[in-house]
Amino acid sequence: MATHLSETPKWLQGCLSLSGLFGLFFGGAMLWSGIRRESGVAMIIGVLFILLTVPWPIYFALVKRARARLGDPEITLKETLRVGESLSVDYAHNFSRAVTINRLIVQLLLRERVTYRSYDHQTKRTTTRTRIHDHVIQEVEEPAGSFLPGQSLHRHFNLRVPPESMHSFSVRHNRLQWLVRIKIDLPRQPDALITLPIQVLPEMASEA
Amino acid sequence: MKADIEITFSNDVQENGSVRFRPGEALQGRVTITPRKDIPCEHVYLRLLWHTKGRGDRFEQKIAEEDIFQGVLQKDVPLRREFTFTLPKEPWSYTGKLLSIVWGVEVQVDVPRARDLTEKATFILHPYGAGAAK
Repeated sequence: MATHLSETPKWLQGCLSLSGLFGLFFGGAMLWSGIRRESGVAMIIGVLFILLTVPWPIYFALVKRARARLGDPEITLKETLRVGESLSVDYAHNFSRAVTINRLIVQLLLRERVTYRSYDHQTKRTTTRTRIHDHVIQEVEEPAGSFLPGQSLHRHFNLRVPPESMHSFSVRHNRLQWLVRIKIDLPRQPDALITLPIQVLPEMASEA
Repeated sequence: MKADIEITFSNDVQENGSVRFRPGEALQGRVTITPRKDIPCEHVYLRLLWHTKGRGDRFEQKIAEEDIFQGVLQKDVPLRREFTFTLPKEPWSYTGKLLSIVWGVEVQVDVPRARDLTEKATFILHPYGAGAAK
């Protein structure tokens, strides 16, 4: 299965990056205006705007560059299984540049995702909200190391959907989703995350 | 309440104070309605259903429904009915943080121009255990 590394959703990255550009222009204008009019308040607001917004696009650019160095791993797993069944995850990563990885963490998650509508009596508006809660059902980790260009990292992980747990479930506004999440722990930067959905059928595995 | 309504299961598995059935098996039981006064009713419905509970908007699905009585429920004369439902394969019962899935057998006495009388007995539908997140 080909995968792509991701952390912050792309739409949020876009919004924060745009806010950085806005902050640079607005904060810069305020700062320039403050300097010209010798207004301390305008200068402080301008500096605050720049400090609060400009780091975001820089941060995302640095993370993107680091991810490009890392490349995408190949992950092989069974995408449909039954309750109580074991799940083996094969991780293969070929590196085109020198990379250091502290460890790999593989989690089996059961995600509750619910949507509800709330009515605000003051604004007389109905707002639809979504809440998510992840249960970490199992977590295994393996140390990794430093790799030169052309080297590769292979790891095998064994997980199991507990027999007393639940199958995948989805109806309007309520959903239970099984996920395998792989965290690549990198030194001095945020973990790279890969999240893969799996379908758990409402059947018991014979091994359970 | 104008009547005592009791729903009992006869072939369940008792586990930690909960009643459990396996998906696909037959659920057998009995409902007893003892009116405290005469109750003219249009229908007495017996239903097998499940619903979601928690933060999300409620979703309910009726699996089976029987109309077990029409007429006047006589004061102090119990109405007894045996029932058998074939349970579906899914969804299993679940208890989580934001979402739970609750199965039950419900009795509804449809009283014209008055509030209906209802009673519900819940059970766990799971082949193995409680159906919890952990």
